[in-house]
Amino acid sequence: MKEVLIRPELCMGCRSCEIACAVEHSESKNLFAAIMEKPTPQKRIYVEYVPEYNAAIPMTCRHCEDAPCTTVCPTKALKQDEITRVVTHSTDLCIGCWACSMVCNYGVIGRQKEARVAVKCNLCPGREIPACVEACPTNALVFLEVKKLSGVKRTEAALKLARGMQGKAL
Amino acid sequence: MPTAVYCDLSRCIGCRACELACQRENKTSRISLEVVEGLAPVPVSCRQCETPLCTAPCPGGALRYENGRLEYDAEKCTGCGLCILACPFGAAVLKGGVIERCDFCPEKEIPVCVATCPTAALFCAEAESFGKNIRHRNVEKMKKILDPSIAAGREGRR
Amino acid sequence: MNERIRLIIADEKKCIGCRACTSVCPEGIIHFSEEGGMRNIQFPGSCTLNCELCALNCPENAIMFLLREESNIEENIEGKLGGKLEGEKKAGENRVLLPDRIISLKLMPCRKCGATFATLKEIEKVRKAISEKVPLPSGGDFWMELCPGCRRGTFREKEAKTLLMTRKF
Repeated sequence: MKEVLIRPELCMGCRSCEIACAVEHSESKNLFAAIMEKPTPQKRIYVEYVPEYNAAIPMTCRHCEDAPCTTVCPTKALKQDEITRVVTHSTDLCIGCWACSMVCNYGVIGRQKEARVAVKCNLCPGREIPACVEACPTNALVFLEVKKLSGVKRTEAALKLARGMQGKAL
Repeated sequence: MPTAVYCDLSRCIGCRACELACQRENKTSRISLEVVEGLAPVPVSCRQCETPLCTAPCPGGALRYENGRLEYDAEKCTGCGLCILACPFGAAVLKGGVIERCDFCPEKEIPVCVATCPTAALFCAEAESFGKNIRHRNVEKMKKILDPSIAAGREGRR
Repeated sequence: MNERIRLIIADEKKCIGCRACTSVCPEGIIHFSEEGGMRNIQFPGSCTLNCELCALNCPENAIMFLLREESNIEENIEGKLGGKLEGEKKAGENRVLLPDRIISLKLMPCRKCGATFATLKEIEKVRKAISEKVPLPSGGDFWMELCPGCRRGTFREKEAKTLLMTRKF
């Protein structure tokens, strides 16, 4: 299954992904209209800045295997699809108890102010590629299967190694 | 924005100081701690749900969601106990014809359980802050494993 | 005797067995007991208190009061309940004196520990109230079959399980 995977070394902290995410989850799907909308459209991806390294790390729902949020939710507002592993959230079943927010290891479950319910990444079901991935200018966010990304990283690492070995006796 | 008492389970040692403090303060403890066999101690108290189910069957309007928080008016309480049956967490008990439920010590600056907890496992927070705190904690962890080349890359770009 | 005796009429069809009446009665003349999987609420046929607290606090409006003087008209009692009521005529009196009545309701055992914790009618009423607030699918309110102690236990287990995952992380 394809997931939103992160290459933090490419992230420059522009937060385009955050804006694209919020706009995608608005009624109007337009940035200028979304700003005035009520309820306020909410981002589900968070770019965290690490000052010591001057680096930015985007963080979003990992759709964990055996997701803790799904385990604790009393009303099953959070449900995990057996096959695709996508964790979905139903607003009308949410009672705002915040058990999910507490147990999420990544801290990526937020709160919708007006509706007083949880908000979480749903992998943009209406789109081919999630909004955040499409918006990212540096390809720090990719929409790939894990093994595909591993393949890409292996290729890059092999290239570095080969460069380093050039001219050295084997 | 409601504030409720939550527990950082990685810090809870199961000492029950919270139960004792609450019992001293009220007739009966509104926080209940038990050890889950082989796993961890977990305290349970009212979660101050933002769409509370306990208010649904309340016939006298004693339990109401008002001003962004759950309010309980003992004068209007009929002692029927239907709210206790509605709560998914079993967070309330009926004692002496009234409901004993955590009300976050409105007269105190911080709830007594939070003040007493020796490991600072119990804390008072708004739901929105959880995510941020956890992400910051993760970022701290990530510093240990972050590729030093990221830092190098940044310098180069400047 | 100037004492006005109030006849208590408890409607068995409406009663859900919540015990509000037994909780609020200042003299404690309404008794409740549980045995053999049933909750029994015993109402005295009459009471000399002026409070009517039981009737006021009953969530189902299942309790009615009649002044004894009015009770010489049997239809009055039957009419109020919409059905026949077994009253007793004391020898020599031509007024009805209601006997103690026991309303029995079936209790629901906790799915986990088996302890009884609520009547079936209470559960039904709460389920209905919840479903009007949050549209849970059928079986979506699993906690309604558990006693409050086991609800806490279940929630604790779930949280502890997730903690285990965090520790590894």
